[in-house]
Amino acid sequence: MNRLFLSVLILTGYFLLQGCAPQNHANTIVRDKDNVCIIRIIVQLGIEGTDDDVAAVTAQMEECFKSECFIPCESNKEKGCKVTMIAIVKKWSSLTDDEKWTFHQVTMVDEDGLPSFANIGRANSGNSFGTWRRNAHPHTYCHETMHLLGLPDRYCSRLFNVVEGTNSVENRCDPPPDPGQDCCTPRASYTRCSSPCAGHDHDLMGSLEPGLSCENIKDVLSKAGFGNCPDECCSSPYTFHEFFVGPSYLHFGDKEVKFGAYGATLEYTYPLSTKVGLMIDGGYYQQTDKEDDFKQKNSIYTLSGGISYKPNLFGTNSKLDLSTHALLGIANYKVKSEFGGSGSTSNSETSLSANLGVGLNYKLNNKFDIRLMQVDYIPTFFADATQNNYRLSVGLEMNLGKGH
Amino acid sequence: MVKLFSLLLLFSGLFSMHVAGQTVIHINAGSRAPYGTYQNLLVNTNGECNYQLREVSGKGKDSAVFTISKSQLDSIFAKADQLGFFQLNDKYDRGVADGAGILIALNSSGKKKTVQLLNTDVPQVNELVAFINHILEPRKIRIYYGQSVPQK
Repeated sequence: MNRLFLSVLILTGYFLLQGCAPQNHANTIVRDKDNVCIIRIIVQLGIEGTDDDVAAVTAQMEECFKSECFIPCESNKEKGCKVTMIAIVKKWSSLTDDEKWTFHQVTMVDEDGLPSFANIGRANSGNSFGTWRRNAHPHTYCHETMHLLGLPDRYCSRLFNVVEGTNSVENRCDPPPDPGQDCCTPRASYTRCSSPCAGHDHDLMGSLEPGLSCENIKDVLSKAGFGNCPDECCSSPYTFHEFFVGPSYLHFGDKEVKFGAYGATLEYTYPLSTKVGLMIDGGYYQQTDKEDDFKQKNSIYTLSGGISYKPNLFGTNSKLDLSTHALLGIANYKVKSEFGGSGSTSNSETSLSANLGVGLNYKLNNKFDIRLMQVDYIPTFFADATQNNYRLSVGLEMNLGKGH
Repeated sequence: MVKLFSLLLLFSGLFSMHVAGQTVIHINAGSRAPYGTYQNLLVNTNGECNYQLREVSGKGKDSAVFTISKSQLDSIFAKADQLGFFQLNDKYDRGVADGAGILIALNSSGKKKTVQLLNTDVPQVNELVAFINHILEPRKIRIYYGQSVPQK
């Protein structure tokens, strides 16, 4: 028991260290190795300043990154990706020359009434730099760190030149337009003005008052190419009992006998997971030959069971869905011949059969899919021969109730 | 009564002409972010100065109205000429987000020039601002945009 506890402790320590270990980039944005639905943003700040500066930046960044962001899927708002953020703050002088390439260089200066600044960085790329004021507003370092992570400002500003009598553009909103078309109106007595861009009134990148929002984090991810949550994170947590029914054409035969029969196919799939299910398939197909007084009716029953598998080929957000199955079962082949008024003969035989098939569904709504096409290869072994049969089906699939 | 009124009107007209002398120096220095403060200094042909310290949000923090001598005003233009201010580029931008900057606009006998710096230093501008700061020193005003102090 003690050994088990010790092992768990060591493993926990290892993973914690992995999470906080210095990365190869100043901005690292990665999916978790074990769970692609978790995205980690790791920013590394090298502080050129005192120990107190390192402590102040660390405290502000912990507050800034304290909340996780959840990115819901478009198709299912309950599912999505979780984003966690970590700031690794170290004293610049404590870094080796190699490490300095993987940390943003932040120079701390005394508070002098001027704003801090930062060079706009890029994800999973080289380091950037900035100059930050001490004793700054509680959101300042967070705002500047978001610049290091690649976010632009979300405000516009204008400057009035009294000598020239002109109003010059200092910053424009991207994307345009500026709020009120011309941002703000400076005057001789108020020569510089600024305004948050449209929709960014409560955005940390538009002013300092709001804290970091999930929208800011989504912007960072979008710029880094992590804007979409992978399909596997968006799969429905629910699975359904699937019933399929539809008309089919069965091409039956071997070198000796061959014919095409029409009939109907029924299927039921019991869900084991969102991808795998247990499937039962049954059908009846019939073909009739008539020539003068002679009439022959060929009937085939099939019943098989096995595994179905959905590879999620088109993604969770697509209305198209491909399913495959591999089944084993029996087939019954019955021939009934009538010779005018002189009597009839009947013969029935049962054989093992297999079924390898693929179906393409188009989702109508949560309850119904249209099966655009299903193709099955159904070998049978009547009369010591192998019949390479195939079946084509279309139809309606009904999804009932919640499974697992 | 009418004469008194006319006299008052004449004086007030003369007074407003005097006050509204053409602005020949405009300096805006400080924040280039949506927060922080900036300084604004206007000097007209009469040497009358209007100084303000404001937050970007618009709130005034300090202000002063005072006069510099004609010779001091002329010396600023002479210094600008000597430093090659009128030959500088219109804008020097380090290309970083937020931070500070300065706009200096001069009208030296009709010769107008505006130079803007954003989070960067240009020695000629720094030296000109240092010269102006020397003139403003008795008023305890120092134009500041994060510039490094020019070497003497």
